[in-house]
This record gives sequence, C-alpha cells and structure tokens, in this order.
Amino acid sequence: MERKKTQVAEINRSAYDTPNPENAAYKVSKGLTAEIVTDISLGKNEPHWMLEHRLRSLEVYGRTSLPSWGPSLHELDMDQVVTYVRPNTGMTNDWDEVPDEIKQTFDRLGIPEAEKLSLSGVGAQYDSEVVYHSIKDEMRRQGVIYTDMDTALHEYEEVVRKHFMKLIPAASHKFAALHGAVWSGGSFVYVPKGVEVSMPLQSYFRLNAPGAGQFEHTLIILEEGARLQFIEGCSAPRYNVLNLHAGCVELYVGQGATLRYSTIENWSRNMMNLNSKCAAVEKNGAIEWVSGTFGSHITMLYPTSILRGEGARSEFTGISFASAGQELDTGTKVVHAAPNTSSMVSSKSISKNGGKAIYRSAITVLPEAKNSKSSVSCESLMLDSDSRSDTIPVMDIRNDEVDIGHEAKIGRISEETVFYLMTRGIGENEAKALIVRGFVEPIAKELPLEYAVEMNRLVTLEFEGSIG
Amino acid sequence: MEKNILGKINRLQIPTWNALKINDTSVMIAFEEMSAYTGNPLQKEYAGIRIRKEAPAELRGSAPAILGDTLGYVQRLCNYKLHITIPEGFTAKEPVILNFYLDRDNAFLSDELFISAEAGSSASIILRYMSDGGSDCFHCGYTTLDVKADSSIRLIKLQMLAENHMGVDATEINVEAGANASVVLAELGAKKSVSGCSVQLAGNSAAGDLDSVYIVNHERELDMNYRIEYRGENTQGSISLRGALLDNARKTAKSTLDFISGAAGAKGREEESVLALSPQAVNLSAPLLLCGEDNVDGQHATTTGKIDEEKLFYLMSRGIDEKEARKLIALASFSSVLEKIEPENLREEITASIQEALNNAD
Repeated sequence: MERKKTQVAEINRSAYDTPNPENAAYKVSKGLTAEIVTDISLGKNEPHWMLEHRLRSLEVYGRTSLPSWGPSLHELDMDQVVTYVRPNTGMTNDWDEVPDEIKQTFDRLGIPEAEKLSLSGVGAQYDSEVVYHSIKDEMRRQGVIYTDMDTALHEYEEVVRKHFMKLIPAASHKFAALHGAVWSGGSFVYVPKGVEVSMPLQSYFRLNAPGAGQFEHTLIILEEGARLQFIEGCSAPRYNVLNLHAGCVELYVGQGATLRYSTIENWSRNMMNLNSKCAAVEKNGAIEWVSGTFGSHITMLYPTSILRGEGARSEFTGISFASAGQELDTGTKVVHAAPNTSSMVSSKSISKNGGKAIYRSAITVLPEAKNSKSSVSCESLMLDSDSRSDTIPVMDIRNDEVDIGHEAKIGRISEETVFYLMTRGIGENEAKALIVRGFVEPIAKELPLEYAVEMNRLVTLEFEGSIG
Repeated sequence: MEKNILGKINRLQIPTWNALKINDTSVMIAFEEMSAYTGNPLQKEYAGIRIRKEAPAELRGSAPAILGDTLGYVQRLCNYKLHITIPEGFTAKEPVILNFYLDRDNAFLSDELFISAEAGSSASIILRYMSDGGSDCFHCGYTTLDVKADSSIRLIKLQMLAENHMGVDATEINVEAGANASVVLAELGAKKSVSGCSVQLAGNSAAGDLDSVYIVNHERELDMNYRIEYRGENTQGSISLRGALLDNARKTAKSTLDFISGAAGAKGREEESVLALSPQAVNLSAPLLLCGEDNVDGQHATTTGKIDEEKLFYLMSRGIDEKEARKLIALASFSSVLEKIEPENLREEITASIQEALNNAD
C-alpha cells in the first residue's frame, strides 16, 4: 500500500512577491568596476578613507575565489548584476512623505502598523537606500542612536571608522569583499551604558529592482550593561532574473550587555542570499541570534559569535524551510576565546518538494577558553524522498577543561508517537498537528510575535495519511 | 600526486570551511618505488577457507571517494596481495589472523587484501600491523570486504605501528541482503595514522557496525574517516568511536551516516565519546548526517569532556589513588568497544597497550 504523506502548505507569498514598477532615480551600470565603485562613493559624498576601503575591497574581490564548499554559485554572473539602485526619494522620518508606491509596499508588509504597536524605532530600506527611519523620542532622550549608515558615516565618522568591517574584513571571503566594495544603506545603532531599550528596533530591507543586488551594512554597538532587541526583515518580489543579497551585520556587545538579533528572511525564489553576520561579545555579555530562513533560491548564512570576554555567552536558535528550487545552507559559528564562555545552538529544518536544507556549523574552543561549555542540537524533518537534509557540524576543541555536546536527529515523525497520543484519546489528525507544532515550537516561541503567527500559517497542515 | 606526498585522502564527504583543515589530509611518504615485502603474515592454514595470493577474477568498482587515491597508490606499489574466501555456508571455527610486521628488512608494506564471504558463511578476520621502531617504515594498505547475502563477518584491524612510523589504511565493505558486517578498528600507534573505512549496506536488511577505539599520545596524529551508506531497505548500521587524547596529540574524527533515497526503514546511529586528558591536545570532530530519504531514523551524538569529578571522588573514597582512579575511568569508557574484540588474548593485548599509554601520561 502506498504510504500517504502529510502535506505542509507553502507560505502565501503574495505580500512579498508583488513588484512595483521600476522608478529608480539613478542606478549604476551592470557589472563591477572601479568606476562603478567610485561612482557609488562620490554620489554619497563619503569620506576619502571609505572610498579607499571600497577600492581595496574590490581588489580583494578580484583575487578571491568562490568558496570551494557549499552550494554551487555558478548561476551568479556579476556582469549581470546592478550593484546600486537609488530610489526616487530621499530619507524621511514621516511615512506621509514616502512616495505612495513605496509606502504601499511597506503597508502590505505591515511595517508602519508594527511600528505603532510594538517597536521603539523603524528603518525601511528600498533597493540601495534607506527611505524611512524613525525612533521614539523617549529612546532618543536616553541617548540611543538609531539611524541609517550614510548618516552615521557623516555624523559619527570616527565611531564608524573604528568598527566598520573590523569583525568581517573584506578578506573573510569573496562576498565580504564584494560587500566592502559596493555596500549601501543599512542601519546604525548605538545604545549607551546601562540603557535598556524596552521595545525592539526593526529594520526592513526590500529589494524591488530586477537583477539588482542589495548590500546593506548594519552596525550595532551596545555599551556596558545595555540591552536591545533588533529585528531584521528582508523580502523581494519574484523575477525571472537572479537578484543578489550580500549584506553585512557587525555587532559589538559590551560587558554585561545583551543583544537579541532576530532575522526573518523571506527573499523571493530568484535570490542568492550570501550574507555575513558576526558578533563580538565582551565579559558576561550575551548575543542571542534568532534566525528564520524561508525564502531565497540559495542561502549561505552562518552568524558568528566571538566570545572574547570571560563568561560571555551565545545562543543560536534557527529554523529553515526548504521547498522546490531552494538550497538553504545555514547554521552558525562560535569561537570560545575566553574562560567560562558558553554557547547553545538549537536548529530545526523542514524540507519538502525537492528542497535542500543544510545545517553547517563550527564550534571552536581555544586553549585559553577553560571551563567552556557548548551544547548543540539539530533536528531535521524530511517530508518526502525528493528532498535532502544534511547536517555538517565541526567541533575543534583545544583544551581539556570543557564540556561539549552535540546531537542531531533526522527523519520523519514516528508512528509510535502518533499511536501513543491516540491511546490517550487524541484524534489522529490532532496528534499529528501536535507533533509538528511541537517540532517547530521551540523556535516559534523565540520569534517576534508577527513572525511567529506567519510561521504558524506556514505549517498549516493538510492531514492525509502519516506525517513523513 | 605531488612527489613524496599522498594527498587529499580521508576526504570529508561534503566539504566545509577550508580554514578548519578537516576536509582531507595528506601524508609524507618515504617510498616512491616498489620494494619487496618478504614477511609471512599468514602463519598457518585454515581448514575450509581458500587463501590465494592473487586478485579475484571479478573487477573491482571504483573506490569510495572519501578514501581519496589510497587505492591507486596501493595498486601502483603493491608488494603483498591476498584473497581470502569463506565458502558458501561455511562457518569458521577460529579467526583467520594475519600479522604484518615491518622492520629494517621489510620497511615498506603496500598490501591489497580481498575478503569474500560467500552466501551464508560466517568468519572472523584479524589483521595486525606492527613495526620495529628502529628503522624507517611505512604501511599503506587497502582491504576490500565483500559480504554476500545472509553471511556474517567480523573484521578486526589493529594498528600498533611504532611511534616514528606512518600508516595509511583504507577499508571498503559491501554488505548484501540479510548479511552482517562488524568492524572494529583499534588505532594505537604510528606517528601519523590515516584510517578510512566505507561500508555500503547495499541489500535489504543488511547490517553493519563500525567501532573504533583509539588512544593518541605524545606528538602523534590520528585522522579517521568512517562512513556508512544506507542503500537497501530496512538496513541498520552504527558508528561508535571511543578514545582518549594525551600530551600533544592531534585527532580528527570524520564520521558520516549517508541515507540514500530508497533506503526506506533504515536506521543509523553515530556516537563519539572523547576523553580529553591533556590541555595541549587538539580534538577535531565532524559527525555528518546526510539524508535523501524521509522514512529513516538517523541520530548522532558527540561528547567531549574531562573525567567526571564525581566518579573520581567515588573511586578515591574507596581507597583508590587518583592516578589509578583516572586510569580506571578512562578504561571503562572504552569497554563498550573492547568487549567486541575476540579472542580474549587480543582484547587483553589492546587493553594492555591502552593501559601503558595511560600509565605514561603523567
């Protein structure tokens, strides 16, 4: 008898996939040259050191090979990518001043509504530039700075210069170098000593232009004892040409500070998402990554935590959902570089319809990181045999005073568990729903509310036969 | 191949960040030309078992990619070849033992071994590799084990080369329907040892277990790459690694469970427990779990830690001194693999070797 399978519905992408007509004020030619890079920098009236940084990064890009591991990137032709598209508007802190077609896009995505209800501040980027940025007065009075990177580069130049691409230098990999050459937009956050930002800040990145790249840079600095939750959302309409996202996120978490960085990535299925993220955590500080990867054609994303102060800790909570035409290569890297540091990783993935979900990680414990602890758990749910789910963890441990554990599970949901629940009086369909919701629940509860609702929609189940 | 280097062997099935230096390994080789091996590893005949010094008639398929070009090197410089056949339905009453000894007169061994377990047969094969530390020796070997339907075979490989010698050893196993292969790999010697094993559970209900026990001390290096491929339905297989690291040791353990589409009902377990007994030791692990079939059950678990202080306290409260207590706890961690080793005198030999290394740790 043919075994029937439980179906997990696709996400309703209408809010994300609807494009606006192209109406850019300016865009550079396709491809990547020193002239284009110079053009971007001069157009932004940047300090000379930033232009030099861009040109040095371009040189590094030229001499760096594509990664010899991970998904094939052969479809990416940089000669066909437009690296800078300036929208037909400036930046404002009033939604009424944002052109209607752009504002409607963010309305559909629920950003202005969320700002009113539950956020301390919002940034909205459209193609290569930030079009809206605001922060509540109360936060501003406490000294919190939340602005776009272009403004920060001019108003807080020395702070930016001290931190910009220091955690992720251009030499890290080819797409970090690309980012260094053509970056544009992004958010800058500074939270002073002891200030706790009560409601999250959210930056939303929307790429509308077909065949374009988005290269926003996010720089967050938390001083001693500060607390912040930052939410990053990304989406793009679907085109039949490849788009490229190579953003860069650098987070400096001061002594005793806590930063939760949540990302919900919902790029369209023509997007190459080759993003870089890194946090440096000082003594007794904490970085908490929450990462949901639902969209894109190919994703390579491994948020990195460098625990460089004694007692620093990191948490990574991630879920990915790979369907037809998607190869989502995600995970995390942790470097334990000081005593008594701890890390916890919890990763879940669902793959269906030929989708490919890969968990990749590297936990490194240096000799000086005595009494460090790390716990890694990853679970993968396969919904058919056309799909793939691979787990590729590495542990590199260089001292003996450690406690390191890694566990992984793969497969479908057991019929025994369904049977057990049914013997307790729960109907078969309800039992299956309980199990699948239980599978994603540890991740869903860490997501911002509106995204948790979205994910629950995603795993709407049509019960027919057994799960798996 | 670059001169004097056997490179890109023991490859991680799916490569990852190059900076981790775990994607493959290489060894310097002192022997680029054929030289004779005149040792006599097989010191008796075994009733009912066919042993020939030639390759089997059927051609070998290509070697598993994870083993790199070890087979090519062995075939180019092969100086010892043996084909052992366990006839159909035959049950061997005693293990077939081959003792390979390397010394000044036989400094180089490149052995290609074929073991055919015909349908319904049962046997144990023990391969021991030892060397005399006074000379410059290198072992590079490739073993092919063909386990036909409903047969059962146990292969024990014991690597006890001297501490100044290099060893490269690869094993390829194909298990047909209803058959069972049990492999124990004991890695106890060599300056650098590269040990690879790929088990294919090809037939329905085939089973394979791969256990490794190792101890790495002084300046030694051990690179292991073990893989089970689940191809048949309802196949079952596990990888279990137990070891201790002392002094300035460097250990790399790559282990892969690979569920191929169609292997419905397959079950796989993978576990590694490492006892870190030195602050200088380097311990790399990459337990891969690869899956192209939904109807499977695959799990892995890895733990790295120091000796449990509570166990230590308990033993010391019973009057055992700390050094002895540490040794007992370390030995106990190997017991699940050691108890699979038969005959008893071989188990005792391995246990004694581990004890000696632990005794010298301080």
